[in-house]
Amino acid sequence: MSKKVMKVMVKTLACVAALQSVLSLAVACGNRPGAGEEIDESKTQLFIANFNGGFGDQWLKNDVIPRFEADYANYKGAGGKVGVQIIVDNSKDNGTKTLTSLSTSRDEIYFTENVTYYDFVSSGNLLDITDVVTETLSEFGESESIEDKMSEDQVEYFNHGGKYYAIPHYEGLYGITYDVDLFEEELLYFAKNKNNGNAGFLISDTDEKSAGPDGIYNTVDTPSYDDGLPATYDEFYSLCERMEDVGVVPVSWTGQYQKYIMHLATALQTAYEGKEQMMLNYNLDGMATTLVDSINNDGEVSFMEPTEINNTNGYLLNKQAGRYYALSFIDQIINNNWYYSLSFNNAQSHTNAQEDFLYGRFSSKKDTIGMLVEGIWWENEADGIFKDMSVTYTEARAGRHSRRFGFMPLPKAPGQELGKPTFIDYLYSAAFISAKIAPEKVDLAKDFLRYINTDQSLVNFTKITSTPKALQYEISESDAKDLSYYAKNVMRLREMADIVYPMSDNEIINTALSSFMSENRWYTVVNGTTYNVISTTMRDNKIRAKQYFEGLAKYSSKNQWDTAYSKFFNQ
Amino acid sequence: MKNNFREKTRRKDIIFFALMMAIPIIQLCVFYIAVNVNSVLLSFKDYSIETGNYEIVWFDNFKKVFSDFFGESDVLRNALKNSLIVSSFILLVGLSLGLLFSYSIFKKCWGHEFYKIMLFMPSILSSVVMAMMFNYFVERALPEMLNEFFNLKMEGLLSNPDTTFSTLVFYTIWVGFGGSMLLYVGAMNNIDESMIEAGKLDGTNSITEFIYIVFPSIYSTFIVFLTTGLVGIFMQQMNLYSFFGGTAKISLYTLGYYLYRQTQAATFSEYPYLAAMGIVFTLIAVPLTLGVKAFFEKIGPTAEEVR
Repeated sequence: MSKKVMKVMVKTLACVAALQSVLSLAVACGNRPGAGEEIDESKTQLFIANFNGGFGDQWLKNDVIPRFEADYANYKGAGGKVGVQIIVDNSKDNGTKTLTSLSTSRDEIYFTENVTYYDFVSSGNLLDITDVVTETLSEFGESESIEDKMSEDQVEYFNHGGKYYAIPHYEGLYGITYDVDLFEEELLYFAKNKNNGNAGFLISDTDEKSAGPDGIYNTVDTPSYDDGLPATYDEFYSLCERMEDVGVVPVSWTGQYQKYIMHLATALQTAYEGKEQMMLNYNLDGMATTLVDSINNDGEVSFMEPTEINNTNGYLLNKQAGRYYALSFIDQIINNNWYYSLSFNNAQSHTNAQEDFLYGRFSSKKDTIGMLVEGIWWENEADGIFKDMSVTYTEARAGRHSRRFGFMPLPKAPGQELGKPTFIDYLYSAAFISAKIAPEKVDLAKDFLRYINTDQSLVNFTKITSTPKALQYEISESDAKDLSYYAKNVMRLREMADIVYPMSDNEIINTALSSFMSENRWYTVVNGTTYNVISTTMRDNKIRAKQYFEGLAKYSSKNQWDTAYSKFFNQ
Repeated sequence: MKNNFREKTRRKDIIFFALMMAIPIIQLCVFYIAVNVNSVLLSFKDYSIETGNYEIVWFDNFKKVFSDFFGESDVLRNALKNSLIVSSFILLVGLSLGLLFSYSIFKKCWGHEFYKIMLFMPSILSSVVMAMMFNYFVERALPEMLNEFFNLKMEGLLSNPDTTFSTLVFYTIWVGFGGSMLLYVGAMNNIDESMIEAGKLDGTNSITEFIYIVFPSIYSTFIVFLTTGLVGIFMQQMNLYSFFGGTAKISLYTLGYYLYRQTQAATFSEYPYLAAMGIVFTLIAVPLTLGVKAFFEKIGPTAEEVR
């Protein structure tokens, strides 16, 4: 080969290599197209970033978007465009990952989780949407504003210096889901008559059920969905024993993500502490009345005097009794082996756990499982499994709207009075508009955000996802017919319950928010060694609840608190 | 006229070369130099959530790093211990086996095709896919097979606390083979045939050939992997994030995983502390790496000695 030809070849190869280098940059830094979607140049586009986790994207693609595009078919945009095209960019980015990409992404409206609100606002990347939130939705025939649909806690949190930059999106409650059909079939409900010779369980399906954790007997007018459910920890343990007796595995969770147990622990702590005491963990402002002084060998707790909590002594909240009771609850499940065989298997993903929970009642090759530790979005996340099962076992038997599941109000800890449940929404989910949106599209984006928070859109969201949006809205009787049993159950419980939104304007909390998030709040020190995963620590290291609890205060000691947060002490 | 033509051609070549080099240099400047300079500057700052601004706090973040290292919590000390253990295995076992397998492939020993496939496969497949497949194999397939064929009840290797760490070390070494073997085999193939022939004439066998001819010839390549292995002490994640996400047990933490995990979950206010931690690691890793490199270069064979 001649020198000249070689030279040309080398130059060509070098050009190809350089081009590849540039293209890889472009791919890495460029925008993700909505899957298979072509841009319609005759219309104005709105680009939406959606965190495509358990809540999915059907609520957007199958409801809001078609309706909005139809209602705005004659919208006159810049450059003579008519109509709107909404493109959804699904991703699993959230939190700081989303924040750092805001200024370069093509997405204009965001629906995501782990929004560390104060970081997002101070970055200057969020559009001021005060008008969106505070003006009534009159153009949609409503007399309320989005702000009217928010709770007081949410208003206090999202209202930043008199302005709004984001609004709550969906609600991420966490706890235990149970199989209603199984409970009825195996008579796993508690009877009103505790001394019926059947360990307090129903003897027949016509027996009257116990009042459940709220202490109120269910009526047609006041359905509570908790009658017959374990009201106390002891009843829950009896339930697990009864389940074992009838060949049912009591509890299952994903083996791959043991943080689900940490979320359950936080939910149990919330259930014990109640709203006001639980909020101390997030506002560091108030009187703590449940701090533990000591625990005797029988597990009986004696309490400290009520203690004023502020920025200087937030570490004391590691002594909240709710933490101890949560740990003791999990301790019992693990030490009595009341869990599914794959609940510590690292290849058992959350969807595998859902699948085994659903198939267990139908397949002879799988264990029947009574309860699943999950977030309320699990039914939507398992939609594909329901569809597959409908094909195999028929829609009438196995379909999502045929099977009945319930979200269990968590039982009361020893010494706790029966009463309404308290849940915690720990996902920090929010919706906002990027500040870099083109000025001519601002009004359209604001319209879309308002549209998505109309009552109709909120109700449709619940119909599709079986979960609530984190706003106040009602579901009519006619709309309720389209909800799955689980969705009705969740919405009713939500109505009855106190919801803790772990948000405040406290600087310590907002500066180090990741340290206060659910899976990072359970670090403990036992015999000089630090542990962080409750379930594996109890199972593998044989550490019991009392030791684990006492270690929480050792890990988050006064020393450590002072070192980390002393600069905030005078605020 | 001929000179003008040559001058013109040379100028064109230079322009072409400059344009081709511009792209990687710009990439280096933006994605390496600028990022690291920003990181260094960040380590001396503190972020105010109220104003959204950073302010200089000098060495406060560094003090906190050292305080956390030597303080009450053993998280970082445990992570350092694990990092040292994993890196020791990679350096001792991984490097040795890498050389052995590379030499087997070079000599086309029995089974060399098998080695090629099994050891290169992790480098070809996506790391996420590899981790998933390995996870399912050691957690589900292996216990099922042992139960089915040998009636042995076994917990998954990653779920069993007695085998988790060793399984992760094994996986880390295995997936690291591909890159090193590619370079080792390439270096071995570049050895002058006449040297191998001369060795054979002198009566070398496979072992002596490796010791006296092959290894000295690829010594510079070996140094490269030795030094990158040392640098990896502070970066090695042991693939913890691939297997456990953000909730691996503390007993498994390495410094690399700790830093990555904290960065994933951090708010803007927490970045300066993490940047300071990265700088501390760099300040330890750089002299260590340079020192070890210089030492091994000094004691190793020179190019002349090899010839």
